[in-house]
Amino acid sequence: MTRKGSPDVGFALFDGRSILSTLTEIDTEREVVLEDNTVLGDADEAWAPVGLKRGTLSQRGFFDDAANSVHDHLVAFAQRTAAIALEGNTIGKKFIGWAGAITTKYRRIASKGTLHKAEAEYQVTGPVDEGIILHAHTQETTAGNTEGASSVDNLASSANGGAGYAEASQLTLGGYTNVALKVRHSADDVTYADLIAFTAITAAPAGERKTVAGTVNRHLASSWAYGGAGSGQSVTFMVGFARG
Amino acid sequence: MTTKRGKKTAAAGPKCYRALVGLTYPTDAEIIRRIQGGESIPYEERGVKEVPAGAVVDDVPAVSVPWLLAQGLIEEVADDAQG
Repeated sequence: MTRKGSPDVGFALFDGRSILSTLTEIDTEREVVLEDNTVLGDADEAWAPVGLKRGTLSQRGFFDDAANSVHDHLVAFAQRTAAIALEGNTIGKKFIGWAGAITTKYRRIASKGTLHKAEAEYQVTGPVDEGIILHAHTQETTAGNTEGASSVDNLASSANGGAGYAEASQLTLGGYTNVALKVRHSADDVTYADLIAFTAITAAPAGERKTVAGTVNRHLASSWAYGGAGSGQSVTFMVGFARG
Repeated sequence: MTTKRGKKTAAAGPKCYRALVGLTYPTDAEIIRRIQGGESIPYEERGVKEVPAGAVVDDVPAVSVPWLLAQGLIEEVADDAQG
């Protein structure tokens, strides 16, 4: 096990809204729901899992009213997909994905002699996924692919599908009509096949969680391509995948 | 080619497959051999061919054909279906 610290936090994206630069603390929690299973005649308490899991998420940091920054994100009280990397913004590192994080509390704190602060709590709805980063949250100016040396080898296939995350924080189309992001997989690292094709992105910020059933092969990669024609294009995004 | 009975038949070419999802693969046999040997080759150096879903091709790497067929990602088609 390797210890991690605050410099390792790689990104915090909510439907593509990148708010890492405003945060001083993220608190995520997963909990298994139990029921007291103790009956008459028992000498000791007994608890049993009821088959449910739940998650909580909260944040603290600085108030920032720039477009698509923390204020815009929180004041909407919206449900968003979220992806947070606690271990680094690097292909192959883990990230946590939330299918739905609903902002339920937003506190703006102004104190004499300090910068304003912003705090929030979320209600988590749906799955919380433990995924692997297939494309770090970085900018790309041409179409590309992480197959080969930049692919992720999980050493074995899995049979229970999974969930892909795509979060784009910045997009300049420069005449192109969209950018298409994909998760791709391979059994042999020679031929790669489409596994998930996310909805083509025409504006940022944007985020999507998309699931797939069945076999997921051992090698995973991501690809990105611009649709149409143009010049001066760029997109800043992450793609990740959590096996089921 | 001539059979033992003297009847002329078409020479057997590579098998054709229809991609049922988008595929990418190198077409250089040496690159494929190096990948199979465990070498990690960057995407830019692989000489990758991009095949959209629905396209019929005859150059799917032989090593990949079994798992692509088994997972329903390609299907075999008649040789004259390549367009």
